[in-house]
Amino acid sequence: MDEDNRLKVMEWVAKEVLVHEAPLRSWLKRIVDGSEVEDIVQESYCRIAGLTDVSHIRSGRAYLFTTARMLVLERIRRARIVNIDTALELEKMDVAAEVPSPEQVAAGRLELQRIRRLVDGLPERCRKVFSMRKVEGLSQREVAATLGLSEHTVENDVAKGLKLILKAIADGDQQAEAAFIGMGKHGSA
Amino acid sequence: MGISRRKPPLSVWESMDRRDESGMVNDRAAEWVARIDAAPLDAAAQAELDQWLASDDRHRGAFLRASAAWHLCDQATALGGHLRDAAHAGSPAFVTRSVVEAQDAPGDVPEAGRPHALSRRGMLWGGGALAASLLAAAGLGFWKGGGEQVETALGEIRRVPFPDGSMASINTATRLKIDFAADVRMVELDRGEAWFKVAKNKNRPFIVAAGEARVRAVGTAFSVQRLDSGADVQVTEGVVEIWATPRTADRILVKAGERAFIRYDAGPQAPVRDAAGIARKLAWRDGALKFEGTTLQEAAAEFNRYNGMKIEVDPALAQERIVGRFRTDEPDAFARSASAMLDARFEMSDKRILIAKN
Repeated sequence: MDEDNRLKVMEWVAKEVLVHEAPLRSWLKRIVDGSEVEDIVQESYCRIAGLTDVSHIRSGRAYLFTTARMLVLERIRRARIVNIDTALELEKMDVAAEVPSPEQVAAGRLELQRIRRLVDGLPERCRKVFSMRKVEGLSQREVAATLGLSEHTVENDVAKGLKLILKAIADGDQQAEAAFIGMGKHGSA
Repeated sequence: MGISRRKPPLSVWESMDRRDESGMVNDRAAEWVARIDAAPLDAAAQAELDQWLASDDRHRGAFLRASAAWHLCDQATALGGHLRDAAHAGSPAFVTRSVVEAQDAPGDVPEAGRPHALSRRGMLWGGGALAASLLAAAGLGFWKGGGEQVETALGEIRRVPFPDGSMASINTATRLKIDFAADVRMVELDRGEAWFKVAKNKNRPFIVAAGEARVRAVGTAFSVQRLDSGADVQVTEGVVEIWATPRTADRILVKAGERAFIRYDAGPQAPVRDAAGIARKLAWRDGALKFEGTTLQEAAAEFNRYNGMKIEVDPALAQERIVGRFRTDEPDAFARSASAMLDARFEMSDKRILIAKN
């Protein structure tokens, strides 16, 4: 049962939280140093990982922002952050948490298509591995056998593709797509 | 469970290192997800992962993030449709894919505090071969499924919309798996009960599988309850076709206002007209239980489906008939009313309610 709960949390994160990570990072950059942004994002996900039930959560966006905000406040209390106008930015962040802009709402709906485009834009061998793995449902071992690759290579490709997708999730739409286009042209196999 | 990190104040160079380090954490998490996706971890690898996860909050966060992103790829690639073994497509036989799910002991169902009556769950996405990485308590489990699973807790009633426009009301302690493909919409009912309102699409039949029992709908509303010896089907709108594998030719039509039982061994039984009874028996969709001359014993058994606080009935009262409408999550109110009706008494303790003769 515990495993089922954790699976549900993970699925909820995939559907309701990941899409809001890029806007969260934009906000965090105004308040904390660059190196802290990543930490706060990861720690926010850590808090979410501790949840046993997400069915009561109305808004993944609000939950993510609120969690991050709490972590920022903790840091302020520990006097790690020296940033003027922090309080004002925090307040604006609250508003952003509840009321996404129309662009952000649209972005949420297009998220799956965006990920799909990103997968399509992976370096060729990486893309093939992904497609065989995810669309055709072959195991990594079967992919390796079919493509004549070592299992190690397939695993590396999966990791590589996933890293690129994670970067895209962090960067939000435009920059990520530009990165992928660049990657596709020069991408090493 | 929290591991506190002691962080000294940072110099410029240290903060640059930290940026790299944080990025490395994300990469490491992705590598772990890829590794788990390749094959179940052996003991040594599992220990390594456990240690990595336990050593830093950020590692745990990054791991959840990477797992979710991998799962998101499932959803995204599923937009392209589901590839099935072409030889089986369209024939009822293909529906008997084996889904071996351990039947939990009755005590294993987690109980909801209050039923989440009619709470809206997110959209379910169809098709695709989904592999999800499980975040198990001690480390990592690995689950490969064929579809999207939905499970309700004890006493929980949940409404779930499907991407094709259909919807389901899922009753207490139910587990089902949704697997929508281009040519067929499949739901596997592992246990419990659900009522389905199916969006019309003759090119894409909607099939519910409960054990060997099958129910096929084109544009209808009906419920299926999985029981020990078979499945109970009640139709509220339209017509469904029922049968039991492997005798796929032996089919019966069941119309609105009719109920039918499909025996796993003997197949579908003749339908029975009972529109009023069906409406009553589906009152759970509104969080209610309605009884019209039901025996006290049966009524208590019904309540016990929804509540951890079990009702026990004195054998001397078991066959008494009762009438009334009650909330599924108020067994105590039921006991009070029933006792008043029958001039009996009831006792409530920690775990049960006893209705006994005065």
